[in-house]
Amino acid sequence: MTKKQQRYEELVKQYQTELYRFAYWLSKDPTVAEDLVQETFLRAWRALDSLQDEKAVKPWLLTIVRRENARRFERKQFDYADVDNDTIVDNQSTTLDSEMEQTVIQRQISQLSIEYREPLLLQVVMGCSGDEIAEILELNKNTVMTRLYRARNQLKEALMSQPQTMTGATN
Amino acid sequence: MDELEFRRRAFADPNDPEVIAFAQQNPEHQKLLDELLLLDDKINLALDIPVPPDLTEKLMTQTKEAPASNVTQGWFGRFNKPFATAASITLAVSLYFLSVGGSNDLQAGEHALAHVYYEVKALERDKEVGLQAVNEKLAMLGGKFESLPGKVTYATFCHFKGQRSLHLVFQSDHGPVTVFVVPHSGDVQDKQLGKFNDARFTGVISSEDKANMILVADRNSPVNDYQEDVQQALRWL
Repeated sequence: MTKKQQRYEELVKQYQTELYRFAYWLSKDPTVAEDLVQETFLRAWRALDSLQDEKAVKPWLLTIVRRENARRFERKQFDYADVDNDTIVDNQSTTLDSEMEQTVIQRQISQLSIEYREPLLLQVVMGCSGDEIAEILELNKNTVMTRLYRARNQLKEALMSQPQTMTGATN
Repeated sequence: MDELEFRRRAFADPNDPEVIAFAQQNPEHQKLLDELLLLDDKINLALDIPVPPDLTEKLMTQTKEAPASNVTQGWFGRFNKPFATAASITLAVSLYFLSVGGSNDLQAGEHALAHVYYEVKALERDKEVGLQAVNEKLAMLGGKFESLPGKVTYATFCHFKGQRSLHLVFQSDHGPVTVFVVPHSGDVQDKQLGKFNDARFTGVISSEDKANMILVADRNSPVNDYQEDVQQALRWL
């Protein structure tokens, strides 16, 4: 195996799960998410020689996923305004209550507007810092922090209004 | 930090060390922060959808049909500057490794050292975090401390190689000891278990029931003894 292939495989192992999750919740479609991840890694393979800085790899990959996702809308107008139940995946091996709760949270996250959902995904799924999110989304950090605040605030309020599913909440 | 700022910052990033420190001074703030950390945990679980089983294979094989080229994408340039500092830190850490030699497989150790350097201020705290507060966080990773291995001065969730993990610091006779508890779903492979060190720190990675445990301590400290102390105090639920 060449060094290049080895490095590519390491990148795939390190980022594919998080990148798929990010792409999934960005596009809200498993098929699209898979295409986005494949396209992104193909581009990473082609640009591998210029991706020497390990710290720059993650924002680079995320920028490609976002860009490819945006390009879908240039090619064809999809209607993703409503959450489609088929695309909400339940996790296995959970109790009924937490399953219900997870479905509620998944639905609420899907319903967050993209400007709130995207920074939240970058923070929670990708583990990005506020500065990294600002860089990737090309926003200033204050705007990012305000959007994160609103995202969690909306989720918290939405979940509070469904007390029967909040098994672990304290109020 | 005032009430309003705390609220805004806690909602924006409940893992912010300054927010966590501020919350410890007031039970009401701590309660809100705990709720937000619990919410984050639930968000994380809800987002954790399974990856298609054949995705890895597809990603690995697609390169065979696509030869690599050296074309640099123009827009990539704008990423270079903000990460130049980070790159020099990475280089410094790498050089430490070259100087000690033979540590090629210990990417997790390297990551742990970089993480400790990045949050080096965490080592300077002296305000005690109680057993219950530590256990509330550890419970989310399926663990519990019967007793603490020393005075804990830092306990927060962090991302270790992208995996939500617990970052603890406790005080020992040889200075602060950092402990990362990284769930097994994280990217720490068995071949990375064992000891690692650089000019300032020494560390050890072990695989426990539900998580990998990574200790980082002063280079001259008996890190294996501390590892044993932590292992003996730790229970998995």
